[in-house]
Amino acid sequence: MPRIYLDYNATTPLDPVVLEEVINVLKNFQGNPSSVYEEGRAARILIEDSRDFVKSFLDAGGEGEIVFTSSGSESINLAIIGAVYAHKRLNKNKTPHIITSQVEHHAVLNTFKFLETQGVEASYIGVNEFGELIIDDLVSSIKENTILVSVMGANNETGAIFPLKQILKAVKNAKDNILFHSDLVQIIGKIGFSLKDIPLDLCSFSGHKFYALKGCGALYIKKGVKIDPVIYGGHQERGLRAGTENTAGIVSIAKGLGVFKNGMDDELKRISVFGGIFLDKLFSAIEGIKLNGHPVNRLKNTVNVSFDGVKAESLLFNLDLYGISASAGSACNAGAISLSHVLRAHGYDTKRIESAIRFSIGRFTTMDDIDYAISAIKKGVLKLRATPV
Amino acid sequence: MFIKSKRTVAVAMSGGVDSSVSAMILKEKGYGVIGVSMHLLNTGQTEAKTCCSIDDILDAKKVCVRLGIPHFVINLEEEFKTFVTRPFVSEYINGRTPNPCISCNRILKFDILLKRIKELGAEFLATGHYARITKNKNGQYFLLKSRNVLKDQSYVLYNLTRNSLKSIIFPVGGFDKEYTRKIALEAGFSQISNKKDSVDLCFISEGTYAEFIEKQIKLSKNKGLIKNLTGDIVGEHDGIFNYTVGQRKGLGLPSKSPLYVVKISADTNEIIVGNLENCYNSELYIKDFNFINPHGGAELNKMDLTVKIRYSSPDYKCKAFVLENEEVKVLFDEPVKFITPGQSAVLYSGLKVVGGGIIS
Repeated sequence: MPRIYLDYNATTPLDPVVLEEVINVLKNFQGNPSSVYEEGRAARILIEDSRDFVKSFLDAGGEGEIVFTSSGSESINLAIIGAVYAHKRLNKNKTPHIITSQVEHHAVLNTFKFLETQGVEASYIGVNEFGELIIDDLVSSIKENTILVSVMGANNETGAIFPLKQILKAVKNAKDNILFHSDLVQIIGKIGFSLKDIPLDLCSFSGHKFYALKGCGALYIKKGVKIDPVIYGGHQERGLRAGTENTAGIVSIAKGLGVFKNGMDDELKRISVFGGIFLDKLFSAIEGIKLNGHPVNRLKNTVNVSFDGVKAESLLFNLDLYGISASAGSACNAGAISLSHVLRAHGYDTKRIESAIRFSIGRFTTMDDIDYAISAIKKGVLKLRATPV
Repeated sequence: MFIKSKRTVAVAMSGGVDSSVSAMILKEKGYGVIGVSMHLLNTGQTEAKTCCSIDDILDAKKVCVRLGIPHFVINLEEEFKTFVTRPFVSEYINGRTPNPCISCNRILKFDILLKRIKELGAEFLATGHYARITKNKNGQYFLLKSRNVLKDQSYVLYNLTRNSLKSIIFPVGGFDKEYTRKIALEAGFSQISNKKDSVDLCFISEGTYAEFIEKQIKLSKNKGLIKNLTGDIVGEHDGIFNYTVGQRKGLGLPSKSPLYVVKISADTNEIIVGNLENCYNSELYIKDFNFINPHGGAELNKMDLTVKIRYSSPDYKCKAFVLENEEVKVLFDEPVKFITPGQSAVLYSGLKVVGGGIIS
């Protein structure tokens, strides 16, 4: 059965251009980048070229550094834990306070929860029913000992885009020595972004969300921002991240961003149109559905909807049997779906959360895919609504 | 589009050998097979040695992927709390000794899961239980013990309804366990074929059941008195949930002859102890009785009946009567020791399960 992949926010397939480059690196650049002989130098150059490319992609200017990591999650851990530990090391006897939103990815939330067990104070700011962060709530939660704020660029479940520029400005106005980190996993390589426009202190992202390899990520650190490593060992990545570099993965990040940049205008237009059509067709095909998150300020590739009277789990499994891949809530290691903390933070009732499914389209989604998906979703929803519970 | 040609069976897969082989057999027979696993506990970390732990669910997934069938994990965490662990705690608090596997089978597996798999387009639910379902020429269904009575699991299935028997398949129900293991091994699932049977309560990964209860109720120890049958105080206890009828070990009472728990009285918060001869009864009462037998309670007097009073109990010869309050009264041919309120009693007529319920 043909598969129709509608889960690009979870991960993306490799772009063929990236794949070709990865194969080239795996075949021809097998040296340890830290080695002092030719094979080492060859790999080192690939990594440093990639680093420069990523910096220029982000408009970082000369004002910052890129650390390559194993994932978005590792980047986030390094940014948040690293900043807190550096602060603790430099300012003994002070309990640091950190702030984030309730709708962050678990990579941020569980890092915060961990730090709370390490003598750090944390605040979690709520959102309204559209997933908008109330900036006044954020600003009023800032305290004398607040050292870091972390707010995501776009929400992975609803696609809601946060006005980072305003949020950053409000935070810095309130207290200018607060570090601002953003989880940009759903932004970088997906829509345009420039550090010149939004001068973050720290931001994290991940290769496999933009058609590069899984298992590689990056953290941007603005010049002058002090963080401690969380992985100790060799002095790779300027001493911030020990461990032999994943040359192919790092190259795939640069290549993935390069491919995106070249086709950005067309891709954004296409995805915006397709996303709009998907949403329209879904709403005209099926009654009793609600869009979750923000109706306007959202990634156009992401459609998170609740189907009245349908259990998302059952619908997802049915869709899988029809050849369609989508997701709901967050899945644990074993694959059980649990209720979305993100939608809960929107204040939705349990029924709406239990019936919410996220579809996310991407580079390789076709109009035929969308049409097939709509008819399969309709079939699944009508069948489940007709099944007595 | 979406044409379905085969009849579809969902197999409840625990990651163990019995359910894995069940899936293999059904696939071989030409059914459309879907693997489903129940996610019951949110342990956060991978705590091993539980029947539905992450490792076990991943084992189930491995088997399904290798068989080329889909595998879905159904999240029943809340349902498990509501229908299994909370009642487990409250039964103990009320002086009874529950068997949580009974309610897990009755409500989670053969009610909620059965409904969920029908939502996936499956007509049948298969499990790896050792028991058999037969149909006579009048179209009536019967639940039978497994061929190997030592491995028989019909005891935990007495709550199946006459209606649900039509939708349930036990593919290994007539096998010897060793034969099941052999099938798994020959199919190349050597790791699965060697897996140990789960024996302990799946939701208690460390410590004793009593510690689990203490953690749940968050009460300080509810001390009370231990008395003998004549009403003399012979000791103190740390909460009645620590005791089970028939228990001898851990009473900490000095006595010439061994003492056993004869009765647990939740009303007075007392444990009553006596000698072995005080532990025998010639009758018991069963509430919430479910008849699987197509005749219901109508012909009990015409059958040669036996009863099991716990999972590992022998079959005791008996007679049974349906009372006006719909309880079932069982009269043993010879007195039986250690009848434990809260456990299930299951009536058999030969190999056939007549029905069962909770000992009151």
